[in-house]
Amino acid sequence: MQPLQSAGYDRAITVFSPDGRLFQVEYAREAVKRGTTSLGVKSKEGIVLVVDKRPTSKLVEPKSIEKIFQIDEHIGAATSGLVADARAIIEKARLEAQINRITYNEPIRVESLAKKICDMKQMYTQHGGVRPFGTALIIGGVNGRGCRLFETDPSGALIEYKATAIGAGRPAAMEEFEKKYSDDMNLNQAIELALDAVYEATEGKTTPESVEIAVIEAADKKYRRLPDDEIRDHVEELLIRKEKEEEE
Amino acid sequence: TTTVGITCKDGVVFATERRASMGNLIAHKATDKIFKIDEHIAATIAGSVADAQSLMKYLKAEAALYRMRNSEKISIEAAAALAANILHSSRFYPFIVQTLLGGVDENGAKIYSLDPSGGMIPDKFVSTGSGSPVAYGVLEDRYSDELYVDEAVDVAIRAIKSAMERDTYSGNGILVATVTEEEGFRMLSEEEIQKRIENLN
Repeated sequence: MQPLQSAGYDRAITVFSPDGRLFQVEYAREAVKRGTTSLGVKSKEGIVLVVDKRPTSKLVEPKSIEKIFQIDEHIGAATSGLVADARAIIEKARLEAQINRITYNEPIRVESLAKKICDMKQMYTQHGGVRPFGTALIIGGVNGRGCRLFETDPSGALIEYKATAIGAGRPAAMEEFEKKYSDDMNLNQAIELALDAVYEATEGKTTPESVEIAVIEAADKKYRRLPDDEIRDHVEELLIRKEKEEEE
Repeated sequence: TTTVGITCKDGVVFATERRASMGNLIAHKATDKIFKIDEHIAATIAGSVADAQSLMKYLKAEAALYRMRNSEKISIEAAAALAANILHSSRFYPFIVQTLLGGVDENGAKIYSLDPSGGMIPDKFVSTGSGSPVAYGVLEDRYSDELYVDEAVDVAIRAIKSAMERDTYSGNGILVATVTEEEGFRMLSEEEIQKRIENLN
């Protein structure tokens, strides 16, 4: 049961509690906190998105677990929380990106796209008869103004980061980022840092099969999902690095 | 306008001239009538510039969405069907365009011609626009099932060149694009086309 003060104020999302809270939105944030870990790191050479996609059963086809999505040629997003809600948002984001191309003959800016997604999420915290999206997104991309990395939560809030994480492993990953992030990393170092963070967030349960990596390089401004062999190389490097660290 | 499309053993060739006319006035002398829809699909337009450009933008966007939704590129037939559906949906307020759409996919090289009301017909070689009767004369004479892209580029240039000589609404230079399995969409440079014209016969 809930404390008396919140009684009744979590029935409809459009109703504030007396101390100014929207409980349904907070519960949606809770759904994200229980989600798998997804992270994004910005470097001067590009954006790195990494997700932990450990299957719940060995019968699951690993390929069917989708947590990083391409939104346009130059933008990708890593998700955490309710997968179904994430897919709905991603579809909308892809449409917005193409609508921008049709309307202005130019690729959408990463910031504009992130704001469009936030506008949609916000609507679901204010209108009646709906529920908020139980999904947070890390949106990364490259445009004329360089590499950009944003995070949106179920309330529709938007924050730009140098490196960020969502999901269950957020605290561990953020701690790792705060310790090791530097402004002049190259792309490879950014991938290393992201994998270090995912390693911490999953308590060392990282394998080549359990992560998915996508990069958007500043040089070609193109989203690219790393193929299995490249991921394997990176993760094996990570595991060797961690083994050495432990020996020390 | 004159546009030409030729399917070959190893890809497709599109060629157009560059004139945009308003009645008897030459409104523009460097018009782009060939569009890249995706890495493996090209299209040409004849008719209303406004309608054609907006149709091309829709197709480009839909091809990009298809790629992301299905983790796979759209087939030529699917792209043509989609274009036909867009055209047919505005059947009573039509896009005034004759479009050729073609490229290479798992099923090989293919070209479809699309009419303003949404008809969609696959063709081995095809020409559209006011200069098409002249271009067809050349194509009927020169086309064969055995053509490769490299040879078909010359045939397409011949067809467009002839149309430019005799059709008032065609002229001001030639554009050629090819789509092959190896290279995908490729627009030929002006110099390349010039060199080929000089070497004809």
